[in-house]
Amino acid sequence: MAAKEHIDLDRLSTLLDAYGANRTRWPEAERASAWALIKVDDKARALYEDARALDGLLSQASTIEPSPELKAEVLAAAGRPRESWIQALWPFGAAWKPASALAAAVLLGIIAGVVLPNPLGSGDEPIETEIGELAMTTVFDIENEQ
Amino acid sequence: MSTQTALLTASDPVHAIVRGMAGSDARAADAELMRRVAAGDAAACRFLVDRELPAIVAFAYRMLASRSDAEDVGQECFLRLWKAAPKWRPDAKIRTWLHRVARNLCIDRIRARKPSDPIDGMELASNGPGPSGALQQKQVSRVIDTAVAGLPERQRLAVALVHFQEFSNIEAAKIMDVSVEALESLLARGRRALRGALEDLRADLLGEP
Repeated sequence: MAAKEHIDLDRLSTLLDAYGANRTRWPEAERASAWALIKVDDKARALYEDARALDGLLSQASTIEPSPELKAEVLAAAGRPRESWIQALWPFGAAWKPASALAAAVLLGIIAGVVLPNPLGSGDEPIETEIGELAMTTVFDIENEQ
Repeated sequence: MSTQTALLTASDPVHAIVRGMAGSDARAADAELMRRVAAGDAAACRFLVDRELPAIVAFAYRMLASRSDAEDVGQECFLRLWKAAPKWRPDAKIRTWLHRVARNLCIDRIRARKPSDPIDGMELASNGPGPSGALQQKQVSRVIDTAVAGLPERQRLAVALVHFQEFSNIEAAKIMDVSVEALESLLARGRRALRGALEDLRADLLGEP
């Protein structure tokens, strides 16, 4: 940003109102010209001293330090392993165990489906036949009634 | 050895990462620190806590005027920082990022407070500096704390970031999501209000009638 060659008393007043007398806080582009005005203008100097007095008061505000307990808690949280979605689903230990069991169950189901004969496919069982006949009879009877 | 090469040397002590770095180098150093945090490097975590936690707690205290609330905010900020480590963007600055998070948490707490809620910790002073004469330092601090805590939320935020946390106007404006001009206006209104609120104290300290 290009430095401003000149600023007036109004702008200096706004700068001091906003940033105080600490020059490092002033916008870089206006720093040199603001300081140049303060050095040559009595009114500017008075504004600067006023801002400096307020800075002096504000520097006496109290502050606090984090407690050792807080530091310890924050560091302990950093050491804790972050929970993944797998851990969220299975928070009881290594996820490979339930995953293996699930895979084995699926595989067993597929094998059983392919290898074992279909218990409903033969048509020899008397119960299934009876149920089929009963169903057909019911439909036939209904049609005759109409 | 170039800066980048130095950053990638795993055996470097953590302090060497940030020594003498500024600007984009500071961002690179922050990115390296966060890479180490994500990898579970305890020294990097400790370094960050020592460097940033005091500033965050002090900032939250300035905003909330309560030690317990300030510490809660500090803790939450760091929990989020640890969580953000694996996806840290190399163009981000840790201090700015933490202050943005802290700003949001503080504003949430301020807005959740009822006007009648007591503020603990700061033991805010009553109006005026009390009996004239020499004020004890602690009393002076309380009067100033009270004046700052009495500022409207956004003015307090601007004053806290620039005057107490030493952010530049550009960084403070970024943290607040406002333009530099808007920040300047908030700062000027805030400082004028403080000047008025501290008039008596100033006269008392200077021995003026």
